[in-house]
Amino acid sequence: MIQVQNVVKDFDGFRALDGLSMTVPTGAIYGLVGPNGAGKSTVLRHITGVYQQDSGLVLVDGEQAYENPAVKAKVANIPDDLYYFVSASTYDMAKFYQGFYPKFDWARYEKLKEVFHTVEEKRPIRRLSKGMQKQAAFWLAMCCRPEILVLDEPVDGLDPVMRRQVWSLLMSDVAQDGTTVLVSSHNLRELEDVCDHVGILSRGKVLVERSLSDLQENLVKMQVVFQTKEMPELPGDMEVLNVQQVGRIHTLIVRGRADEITNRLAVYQPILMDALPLTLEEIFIYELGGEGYEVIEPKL
Amino acid sequence: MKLSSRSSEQFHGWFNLTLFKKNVTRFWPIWGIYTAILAFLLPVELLLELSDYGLRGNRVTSIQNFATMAMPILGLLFGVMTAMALFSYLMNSRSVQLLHSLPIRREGLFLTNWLSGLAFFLVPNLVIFLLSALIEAGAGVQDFTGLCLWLTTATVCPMFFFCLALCIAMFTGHILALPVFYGILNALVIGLCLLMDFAGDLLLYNYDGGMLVSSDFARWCTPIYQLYHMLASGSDGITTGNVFGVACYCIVLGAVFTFIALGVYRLRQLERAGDVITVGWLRPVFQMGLGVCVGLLFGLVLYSNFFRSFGVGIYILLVALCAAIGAFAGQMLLKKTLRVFADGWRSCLALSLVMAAALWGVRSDLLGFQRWVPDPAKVQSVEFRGVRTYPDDDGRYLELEFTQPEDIERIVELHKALNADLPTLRVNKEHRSGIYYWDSKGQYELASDQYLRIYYTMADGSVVSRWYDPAIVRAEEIEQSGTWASLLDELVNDPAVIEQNYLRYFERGSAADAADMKATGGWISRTVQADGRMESSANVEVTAAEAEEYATDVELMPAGTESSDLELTAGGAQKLWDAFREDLAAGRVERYLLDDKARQENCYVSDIHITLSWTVIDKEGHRGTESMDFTFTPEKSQTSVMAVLEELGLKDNLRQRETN
Repeated sequence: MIQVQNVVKDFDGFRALDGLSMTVPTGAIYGLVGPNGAGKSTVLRHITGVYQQDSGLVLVDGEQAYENPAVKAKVANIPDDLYYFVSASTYDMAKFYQGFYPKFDWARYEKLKEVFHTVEEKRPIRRLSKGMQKQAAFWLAMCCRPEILVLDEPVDGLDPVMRRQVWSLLMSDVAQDGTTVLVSSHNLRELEDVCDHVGILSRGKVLVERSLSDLQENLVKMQVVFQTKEMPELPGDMEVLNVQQVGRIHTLIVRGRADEITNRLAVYQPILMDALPLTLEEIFIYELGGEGYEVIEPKL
Repeated sequence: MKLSSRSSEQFHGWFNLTLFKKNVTRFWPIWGIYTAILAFLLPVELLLELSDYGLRGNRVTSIQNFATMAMPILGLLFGVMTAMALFSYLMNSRSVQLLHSLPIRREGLFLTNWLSGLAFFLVPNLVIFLLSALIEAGAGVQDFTGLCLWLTTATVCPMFFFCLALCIAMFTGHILALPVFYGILNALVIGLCLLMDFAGDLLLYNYDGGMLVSSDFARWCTPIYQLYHMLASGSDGITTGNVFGVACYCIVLGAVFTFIALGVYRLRQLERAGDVITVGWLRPVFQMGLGVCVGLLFGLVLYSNFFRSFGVGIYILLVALCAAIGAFAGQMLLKKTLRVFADGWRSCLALSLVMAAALWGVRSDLLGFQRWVPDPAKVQSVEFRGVRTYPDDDGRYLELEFTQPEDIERIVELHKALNADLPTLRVNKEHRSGIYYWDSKGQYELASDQYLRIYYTMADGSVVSRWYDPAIVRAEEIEQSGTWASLLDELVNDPAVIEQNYLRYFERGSAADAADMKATGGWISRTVQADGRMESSANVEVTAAEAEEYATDVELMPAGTESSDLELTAGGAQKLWDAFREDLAAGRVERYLLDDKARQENCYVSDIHITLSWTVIDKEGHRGTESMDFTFTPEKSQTSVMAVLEELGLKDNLRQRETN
């Protein structure tokens, strides 16, 4: 389990993490989402033990992550911006990782050679295309047999087939070995398919952190046609995050369970009422809308 | 493919073999080129020598000495290259992530990289050592001690510079900043000392211009200078003692730099990769330090080239202005943007004001530098240099060391008198116009430019110097009792001082030694010719009868034969030398600070040159003879000399100054 508690990190007066707290359960696939500059990569670098927090705690299986080789030996990391030694091939890097990771698995390396068959293992990684470099990164990371995989924008640059292939491998590791996967991505559609937990970051804090099902159950999109063209005044304790009107149809994003909200709106005797589940992308947009991060229509 | 597992110790330990091997294979060009250069310096050179001439012992020593002397320079270059290669990962946020997310402690990374650097130098050194030893042994000419001295130097010098560069690398996060800082820091102290010497020279009247730059401190803080100083010290070439000194310097300081580097690395904020300075407290130090250096350097350059005529006030303003610009530049580098004015103007202005205030404080002598005089009781010896006196013979420059308490007290009194006249002396330095050096007819000198350098060796062994330049001696001040000019006049006319000053040209230099000297010949220059005409270096033309008459003591040579001067025989020269020493001892030799009437009336224009020889015994007890020409100007007050000249019939040949 990864526990991040009240972590603060400043960069030259800029507060990148502002009391951030999050918990990644063991064996979970945890999606970390948030706008640009929210602090996603920064928190991942704390979890991989690269950065030291100014205050707070970053614990992996109950141990401090920073400067702790025992923790780092459990964690494999694929950063957003990959780096490998000049002229080092996938094979060279595998030999290099073997010298550091106690569980490095050559048998798996051989097996994965078939999966990542487009990657020439003796060719310098820097000469590979971006997508192939990502494949090489996955290949190497998975051979380390990590208990925790930390992925920053992992499938960026991969073609759809390879994306599916990579996610499939990850899911299989999670299912078989109980690997914990912490993944940061802007591709919410994809995360929605694979993640069981989601944390939404904004301005160095976690706004919402729940299992994906909880998150989806706690926010509902209501499409309602009221008796009058104008929407009646709704109860003050009903937390409506967003309202849009097209013709007589009002679309409301309301915090709460679908059945509860349906019952409460039923008192207005709407002509038509329908409760729809929200996608992760919609949840992301509406949650952040409350934080002043929303889609602004340009004034032309 | 070898499927092996490693013990857990390796993963969590202080050293990682995989990283070590990776370093060796990744950075082979560095140790490869280093090895190639060493190969050309020693084994290849030895083989070439062997094939061309056959190896001889002195050539082997010479080749080894050359290789040893090359090591500080090689170390300077390869030290920084190795540090740049091995620790370059710290300068890039992507490589930092790769290396620092690996399961190894920072200490492990540091030690593995440090040992890699050691291996880059040590292994090639040992290989070259063995090859050279084999070649020498094969040729039957072996200088094993010299080879060991080379090996020691070749190991400690590159490692020292590697540790220095490594230490600097920990304070910076920019790969290009590392060699720049390394280059600057290698010469920073001596460079700053030079700039401060220039500033002191401009701002303080009696500042000795090379005081700081020539100090031991400056040398010790300039590694390459210190290493060569230690290697080349003494006259016996590269000795075990020299190399031992070099080894101590390199090992002690190298260890200090390594521990500092490790300490800084343990605390390093890795997100600083790409920053010019990575350590928080050092950032303002860097900014202000850059401001100070830029201020002193460019302030001096601008002042010397364009604004010298405006006076030192402008120098202070220029330094303050350039310091502010330097501080802005520092902030731009730190913040990686050109837009720093709004945030930085206060600190830059503060630095500018502090610099101006500091320089103005120096100029106002707030610390009492100019007014300082030592307590005579604390002075062990004092060296006095630079005063030029008349006549223009071998006693013209007063350069003496005094060790007797009464002499020291006398110099201190003179020093005090000089300080009492500081305002005038300082004005003379800055505005020399308005000083009349000669009377209206251009006949008698009224004032002269002198410079005085005083070096006190204090009881604690330290040396303190003051340099008075210009010290303008005026005729009226010589006459006035208690002025520094009159005290100086007394000093230069002290018979003991005059005697010591004349005889200092001889190696042994004391009056007793002078008695052992034998005159072997001599001549008189600028004499009066027979027809009464006077020319510089003219001959005295005499008839053969006249020559025969004086043959016992003096030989007069016809013009255009062997010498254009009036030659003296050994006997004549000896008589003159004895007479001159008599006059010296009796205080009948006068010195003059100005070419005034008294000097012109007492001194002849002609000079007497005597060739003196004496016996020397070297360390091994071998006897030898040394000789030297000694020149003095005959004076009317030198009654013994006059008597001898009279006796030799040469007095009338002496030329006097023509006066109006």
